Amino acid sequence: MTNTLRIAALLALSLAGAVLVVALRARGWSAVPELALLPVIALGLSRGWPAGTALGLATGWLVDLVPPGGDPLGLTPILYALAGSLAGRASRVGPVPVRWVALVVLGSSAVPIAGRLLLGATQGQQLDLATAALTLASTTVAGIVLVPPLLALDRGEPAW
Amino acid sequence: MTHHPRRRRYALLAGALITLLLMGLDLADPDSTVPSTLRSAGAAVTGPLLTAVADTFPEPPDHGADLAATGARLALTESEVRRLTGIVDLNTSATLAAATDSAPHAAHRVVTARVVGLGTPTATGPQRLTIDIGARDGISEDQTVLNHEGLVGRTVLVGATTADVLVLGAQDLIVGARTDSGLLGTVGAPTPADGARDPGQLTFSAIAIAHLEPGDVLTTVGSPDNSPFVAGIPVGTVVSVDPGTGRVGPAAAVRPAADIARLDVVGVVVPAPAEPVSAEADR
Repeated sequence: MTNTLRIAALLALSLAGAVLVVALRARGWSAVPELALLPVIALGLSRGWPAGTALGLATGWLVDLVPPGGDPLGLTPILYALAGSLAGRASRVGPVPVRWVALVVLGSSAVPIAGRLLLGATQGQQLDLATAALTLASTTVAGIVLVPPLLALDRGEPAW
Repeated sequence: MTHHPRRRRYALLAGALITLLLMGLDLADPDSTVPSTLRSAGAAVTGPLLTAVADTFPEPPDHGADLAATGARLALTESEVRRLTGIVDLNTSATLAAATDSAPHAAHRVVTARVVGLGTPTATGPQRLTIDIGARDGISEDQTVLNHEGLVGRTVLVGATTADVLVLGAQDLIVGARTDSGLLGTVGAPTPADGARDPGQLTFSAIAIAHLEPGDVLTTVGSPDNSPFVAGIPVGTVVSVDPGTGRVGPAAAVRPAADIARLDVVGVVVPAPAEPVSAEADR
């Protein structure tokens, strides 16, 4: 698989994740993991911060443009770019231990969650910290399961 | 550093700056052209995909009967509220309709829809949801959305096959409401000044000094021309009254009638097709 195809595959997985998350929320699932963010974290871990930031920006736009869309529009791209950049700073050559993946997913997925809370606080909203904490926990668990195969996909290695 | 990566980083920086600019535009005015166009384009491209994914989930329980009951109650409560408040409904006044050479509307009809998407939650929860009907089904902006329990929100962005709904509890949504005893006020998202609220609870702020107590049911007052809200739709129930904090009227925590996180089938209130003027209608 060529380099461009791998990035396109990660972008397509992010779109699938964004649509699935919106549909699951509509079916009453609360604290759904940020599935669209996981390919961003995987690419950042695999290739470093510029790639993670770029895919984060692109994926964030996908998330914000899937109806009903982000509120405000453009917030998710910025937060996902920061999350991808953070994951990219944690990039390592060679095999990535699961514990390191868990730590990076925890740190990176905290960025969009904290960003939304921060914006809410500046707008004088009451903050739903319990749902934010549950979303962080569910994203971390999903990341521990899904990021290693996504990393392998980007590196052209066997997924499992 | 070679020239090629540097160019990429400039492109990345430009992308981030454009994104920040668009976010600023959307924050300053949610109805501004560029963000609205982007949302519409996103809905047009990914709306059918979202609807297709939603169709793969199990069929929802049949709420058709509840919605039919809601539609009937809608007509009754609206006429009762108008009688009590002395508001003349221009749409149902045959005399005015004849004077303006337009047929009166019987009232409303409720178009049922399925919720196919719930937006990224902000600090207080989801602000918007998406339903699987749009302009092709007669939906337009600023129409009331409800379910069999009560008010859900109003339509804000309508595509060909999907529509976005600003839900009750969103920061930009304030609803005029009244209690059973006729006390008027507004219902909206709580602010830190309201004190502690459980997740999902709203704030009712009365505009007059009057008695308010837990258990009071709030219904919509209605909007001019019934847009965005028709009258008489349950909004929520008062669960606790805030201690006096210098406001003119009392304020209270409200549990919404409709559970936004558990929505499945909703109805959109659209004007009914025009009907001929009857002598009965003018009495």
